[in-house]
Amino acid sequence: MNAITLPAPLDRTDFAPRQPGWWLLSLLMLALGLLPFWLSLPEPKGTLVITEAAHHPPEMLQSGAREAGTVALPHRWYGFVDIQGVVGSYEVSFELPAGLPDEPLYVYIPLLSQNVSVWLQDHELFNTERRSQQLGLSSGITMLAQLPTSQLRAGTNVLQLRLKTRGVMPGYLSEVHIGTLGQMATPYRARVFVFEHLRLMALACQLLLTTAALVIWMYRPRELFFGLLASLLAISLLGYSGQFADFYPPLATALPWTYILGTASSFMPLMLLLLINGTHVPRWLRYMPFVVPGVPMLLAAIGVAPPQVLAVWVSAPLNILGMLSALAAACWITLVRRKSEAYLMLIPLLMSVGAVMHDLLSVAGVVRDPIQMLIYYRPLELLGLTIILMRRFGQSLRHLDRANVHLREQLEQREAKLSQLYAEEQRRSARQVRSEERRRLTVDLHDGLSGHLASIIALAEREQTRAIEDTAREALDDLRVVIHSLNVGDSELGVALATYRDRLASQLKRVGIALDWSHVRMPDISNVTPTHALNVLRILQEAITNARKHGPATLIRVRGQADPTGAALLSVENDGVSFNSADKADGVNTGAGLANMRWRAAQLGGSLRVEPLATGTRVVLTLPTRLPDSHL
Amino acid sequence: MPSSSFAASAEPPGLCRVLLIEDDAPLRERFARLLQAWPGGQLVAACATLAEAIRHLQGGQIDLLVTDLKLPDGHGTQAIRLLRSLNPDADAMVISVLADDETVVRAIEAGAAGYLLKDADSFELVEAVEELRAGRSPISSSIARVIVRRLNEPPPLPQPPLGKALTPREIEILWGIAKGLTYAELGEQLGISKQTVPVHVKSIYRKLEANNRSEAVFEASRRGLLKL
Repeated sequence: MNAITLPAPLDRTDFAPRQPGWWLLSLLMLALGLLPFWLSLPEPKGTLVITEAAHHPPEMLQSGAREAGTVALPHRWYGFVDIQGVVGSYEVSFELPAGLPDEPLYVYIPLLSQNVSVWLQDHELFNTERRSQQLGLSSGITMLAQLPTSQLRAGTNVLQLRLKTRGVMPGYLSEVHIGTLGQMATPYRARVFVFEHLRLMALACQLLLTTAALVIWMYRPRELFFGLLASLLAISLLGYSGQFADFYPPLATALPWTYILGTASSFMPLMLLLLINGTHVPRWLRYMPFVVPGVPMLLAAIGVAPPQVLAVWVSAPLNILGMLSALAAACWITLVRRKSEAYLMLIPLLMSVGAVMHDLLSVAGVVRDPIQMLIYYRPLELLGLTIILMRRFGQSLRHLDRANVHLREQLEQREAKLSQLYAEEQRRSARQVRSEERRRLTVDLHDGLSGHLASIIALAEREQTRAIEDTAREALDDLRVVIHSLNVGDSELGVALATYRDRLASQLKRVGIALDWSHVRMPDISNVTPTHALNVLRILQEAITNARKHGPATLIRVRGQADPTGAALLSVENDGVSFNSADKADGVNTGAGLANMRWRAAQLGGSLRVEPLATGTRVVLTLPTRLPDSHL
Repeated sequence: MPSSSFAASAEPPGLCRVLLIEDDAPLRERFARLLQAWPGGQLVAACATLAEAIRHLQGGQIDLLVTDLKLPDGHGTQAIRLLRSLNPDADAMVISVLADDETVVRAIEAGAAGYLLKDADSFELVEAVEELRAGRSPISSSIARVIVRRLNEPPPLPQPPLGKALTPREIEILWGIAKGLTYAELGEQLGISKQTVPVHVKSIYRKLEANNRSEAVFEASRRGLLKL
């Protein structure tokens, strides 16, 4: 027997047909990542653009060059302020013609950080902070507010914009537009989509992926890959804690802590890449998710430095180190190990690193743009990982299918072989049973027939024709008994008895003995083999021969009946001499004949008894209604 | 081959004209002796071969054919078919050594209505012949068994199965005999005279023959015994 052979491990040809789809996925991801570079947001047209403002920096920043004065818009100031925030104000002025326009006028600020309240004639028109505190990574929003006609006048109007910023985020104010709704609605809505909805969509996607990864991990808890992926996705959710501060204000003060906690995931992309590559993840690296956030938290707890300082100077660099190491690993796997799978990680990692650089430079004031890009690119990275995961699933399923097909084929082959063997075995044992049956019958036939023929020879030598005729008839009858037994089917003992009865009737008629035979009331007997039938007929033959020999009977009565227990009774009765006296007359022969009958009865699973009657003898054969199986 | 013709020019009318076919000389002589001694019939010829028998069959009216089945130049059933096609009122009886049931039933299908064992006594032979001429056929349990098995077998087209051709009474008789009942027991069970049973049996045999006729006709024509 061959051992079951599993399909060979997947080789390169298995991946070959998937390569195009592979590159398509990578290109799609690249295109998605580079969206800000080739897709610009719509700009308002025909509006009054204000690019100059009188600036009053927040008091804490009023030092040196940062005195009140006119600044060009867009304008920014450095962050790193108290978590409660500071306010700097801008005054922008615009001229209106004598006759006010029919359409209501709006003020539109395409981009600002982090919140602004708009005042006109000492009336607050709008305050973005009422909607969101804009904490953490979600920095940079847009704003549109209607200017009340009653407050406007012909000539110069002055709008005061009080810009508030918190934490590390810089204060930022873009140019200001005055115009109608029709001129500015589309650019405004586009920015609402990008700055608010898109960020929430990213969050929703991440929640979805996290759930999926957690479920997979739940069912495959031993697999490090799933564990890391689920942890990475779950921990990354901490990046959104700033947004949740809107619902739960105490979270605002915990932001440095959540940031530090979030860095637990910093080395996870590296570990995942190593797993993708099939490299063993070193033990020290496995401790990093605990060490990276653990050390700054411990330092903050024992008061070495405030958490926000540690977050910026310890956690952030560690986070960047984690990303860079992952980037290096991805480069190595794709370029050196030539595993195209890792492209799906390399592309988003490159972008994430770029985004982090941008964000840092933005916070540092090198880049004016106040939008935190990482919040957009982190999901891309997770998406890449998820695609890899799904691809692996697909591969596993294909692998499984092939293994299944293979196993099924093997099983079918086995079953075919087994059933073939079984059939052969059946045939063989049937042959054996038949040949055994044949052997028994042949022995019986030979014993009977050869005796008769020897007698015929002896009689012929003395020319005793009458005796020769009788012996030859006996021989032929004997032969018929055996041949008829051969044709007996499973439940056809009745047929065998009837055939014997018909022959017996003409024999007895010839010698003038009456036969009264009835086996109608005998219960049906099953599992009748030719040997069984022959044994029954031989017992009857012997009983009748005895009756004729020792009789001298004038009537032989054969009865088939049921005994009280339901077993079959077959009795042969004669009206000759009683058994006991017959026994005395010819003890030896009768004894041998009786022993032979008993032996045959035992072969049938039955019993035999001989009862002396007032005149004559009765031989009773008891048979079970199911005869025993023939044994080899 | 030794054969003897007993044809007489002046035969008494109404006497049953018998043809015997048996290839074994001592047996043929024995049967011939027994049939000659039968006052009810006249032995036309005792043939040793099929060819000889066909000559006699075509040569004159035969009322009863007593034939062995295995012949040196053919089979007894061929003679039976020829007899039945020449004279539908004639009877055929087969003689066999061991009464091999299948063989006997095939002979019945060819048109035989009686059978006899080769070691039959004179009284058995005469009894069998007289019964047959009186319209009664014998049946043994083992032959009934073979016919019962055939009841539901699809017959050669266009006949319905044998089971459809037989009357319910006939089927009851077959089943009873196949179970090992004697004519007397069966007659008692069915409420008929035990003498009636063999009459039903002959009817069964005739239906068995009719059921098989198309095949028989085809067979006969194929062997050139019958001109269609």
